[in-house]
Amino acid sequence: MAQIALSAVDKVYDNGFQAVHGLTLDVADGEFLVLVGPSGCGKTTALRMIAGLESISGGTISIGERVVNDVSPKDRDIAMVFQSYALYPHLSVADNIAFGLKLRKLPKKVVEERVEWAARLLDLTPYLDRRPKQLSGGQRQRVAMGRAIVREPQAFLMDEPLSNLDAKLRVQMRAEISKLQRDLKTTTVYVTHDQVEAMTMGDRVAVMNHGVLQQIDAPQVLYDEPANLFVAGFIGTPPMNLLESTVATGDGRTTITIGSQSLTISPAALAHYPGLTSGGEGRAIVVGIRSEDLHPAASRPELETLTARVELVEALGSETVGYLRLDAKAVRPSSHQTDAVDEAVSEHGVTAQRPNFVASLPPRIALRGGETIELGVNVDHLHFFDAESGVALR
Amino acid sequence: MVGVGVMTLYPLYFIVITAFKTRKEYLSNQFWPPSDPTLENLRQAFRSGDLLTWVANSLLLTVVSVLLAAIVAALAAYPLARSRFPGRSAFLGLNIVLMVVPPVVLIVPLFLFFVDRGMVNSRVAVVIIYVGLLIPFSVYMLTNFFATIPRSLEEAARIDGAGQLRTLWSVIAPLSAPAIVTVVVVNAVWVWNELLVALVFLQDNNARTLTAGLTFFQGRFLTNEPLVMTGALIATVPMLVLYVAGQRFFIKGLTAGFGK
Repeated sequence: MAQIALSAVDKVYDNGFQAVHGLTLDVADGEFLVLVGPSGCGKTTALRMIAGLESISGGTISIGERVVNDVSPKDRDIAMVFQSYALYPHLSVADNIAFGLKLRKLPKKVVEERVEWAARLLDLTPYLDRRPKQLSGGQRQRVAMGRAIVREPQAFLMDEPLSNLDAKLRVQMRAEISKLQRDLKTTTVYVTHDQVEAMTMGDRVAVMNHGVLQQIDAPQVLYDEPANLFVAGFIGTPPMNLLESTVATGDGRTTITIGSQSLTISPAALAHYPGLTSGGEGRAIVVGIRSEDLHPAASRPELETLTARVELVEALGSETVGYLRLDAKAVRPSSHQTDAVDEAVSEHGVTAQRPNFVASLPPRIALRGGETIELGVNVDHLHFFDAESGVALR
Repeated sequence: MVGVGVMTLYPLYFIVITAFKTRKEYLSNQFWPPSDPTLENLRQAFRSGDLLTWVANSLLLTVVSVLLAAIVAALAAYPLARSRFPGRSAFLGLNIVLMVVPPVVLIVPLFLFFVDRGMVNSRVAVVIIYVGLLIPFSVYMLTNFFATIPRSLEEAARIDGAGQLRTLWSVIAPLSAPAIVTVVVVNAVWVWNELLVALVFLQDNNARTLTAGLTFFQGRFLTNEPLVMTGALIATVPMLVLYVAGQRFFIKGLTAGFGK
C-alpha cells in the first residue's frame, strides 16, 4: 500500500501535442481516486504515466516514498486493469492470474494458494481451467481483476475497466469493484469518462479537461460546489442548466436577470458566492440551476419563479423530465471551446425551438408540449460563474 | 476448377503410380496404376548409395536454415511491428525490394564471393545464402502479424513483470503460432525444393541435396523412369507430411494479419 503523488507532471508527445499540463495530485494510502473527463482530456495518459507505460515530459511521479520517473513498469509494483482486459488468450484463467506471480519466481505452492484465494474472492473457482474466450464479459472482467489483486501490489490502476460491459452488468461490477477495493484497502486510481461511475465509486474525483485538472474533491462537493463552468456542466445528470445573466444590486438586494425575467438572490446563495456582488452593476455572469432545484410553482408558492415553454416531456416513472425553452441564452461548457453555444440560427429552423432548460419534476405531472409553465426556483442552491473565465464566483 | 485440379494432381498421381511399377510395365502401361505393385524401385534407390546422404543433406539444410530464418525474422519483426525508430520505413521498403529480387541474379556474385573464401561445397555457405533469401518474406509476414496483436497484451505483460524477450517468448510467440508455422512451412518447402543454389554451390556428391541429386538420377540410370519417380516420391513425401500437419495453422496464418 502506498500513496501516489504527481507533481507538475507534463506530457508532450513527439508531434508536439501536449496531453497533460502540470498535473499535480495526491492519492492517499488506500484511497479510491477517480479520474474523469471527456475523451481526449488526458486522463488515460495520466494513468499510463503512473503505470510507466508512457514516459513523462516534466514533473515527478512518486509511488510510496519512491520517485518512479525512470522506473520501469515491472519495478513499480503496481497492477493495471485494461479496458480490453488484455487477458492472455492462450492461457487458462488460472495461468492468467498466476502469470505475474510466476514471473516473480514464487514457489509453486504459494502461487497456487494465491490464485485460489483470488478465484474464491471473485467467484472464479469453477472457471480456472477455461480459456478467456470461453468466458462472459463480466467473468473476463473479474479475471482481469484477479490478475491485479493476486500480486498484492502497492496500487491498482484501472483504465475504463467497465466500458465494455452492458449497462446492467456495469452497475453490478461497479459495486463489486468498490467493495473489493474497500476490503483490500489498496490505493486505486480509476479512469472513466462516465461521471456516474466517478460519483458512485470514488472517495474523491478528479475532473480533467484539455489535459488540465479542473477540480479534485469528494463527489458531493463536486456536485454542490463546482469550481468552474466545465465541472458544473460535466457532473450531474441531467446536466446543470447554465444561462447567460447579469447582476443588478439596488434597494439592498441583489437580483439577476435571465432573459426578460429576473430572480432575487437569497442571502444563503450570496454567502456561497460572495464574489457575485464584487463585479459591479450589470456584470455579465453565468447562472447555474440544477434541474432538481426547479419545482412546479403551484406546489412551492414561497419560491421565486421563472416562466418557460414546454418543448418535450420525458416521463421516466420516478420523475418527469421537462425540456423547456426559456428566453435566455444557454451556455454550453463544451470540451472544445470552438463549438460554442448552438443557438437558434434562424427563426424557423429546427434549432429555433430547441429546449435550453431542463427541469426534473414530480412524476405524473400533467405537462403538454407547447404550454407555458411557471417554475419555482430554489435560489439558495443557485451557482454563479464569471462569464469570461468560467470560474465560480466564490 | 476441375481442370486446375486435374492439372495439379496428375503429376502427383503419375509419380505415385510409376514409382511402384517395374520398368517393363511402365513401357507398356503409362497411365494406369500398376497391375503388380513392386517395392523394387525403392529398394534400388536406397541401395544405389547416395540417396540417403542426399536426404540427410536436404534435411540438415532445411532444418537449420528454416529455424535460423524464423528466429532472426521474429527478432527483427517484433521491433518493426512495435516501435517507431528512424529508418523503420526505409527498412520495410528495402525488405519488400529484397522479396522480389530473383535469386538467379545473386548467384554469380555470391559464387565469386564464396569461391574467394574457399567455401564452395560448404554447407555453411548454403545455409547463409538460404537464410538470407528466406528472411525478407519471413520478416514481412511476421511484422504484419505481430502488428495485429493488441498492444495492451504486451503492456499487461510488462506490468506483470515481464521484460521484452520474456514478453516475446511467453505472450507474442504463442499467439503468433499460426504465422510462425506458416513461415516455417513455406520456407521449408522452398528450401527442400531449391535447386539452383544447391546445384551451383554443392558440387561434391557427398554434399549434394536430394533435389540436386535427383537431377543426376536421370543421366546415370539412362532414364529409368520408375526409378526417377521413386526419387521424386521420396522428395515429395516429407513436404506433403509437413504441409498437412501444419495445414490447420497454415490457413489461419496466411489470412491473419492481412486485412480483416
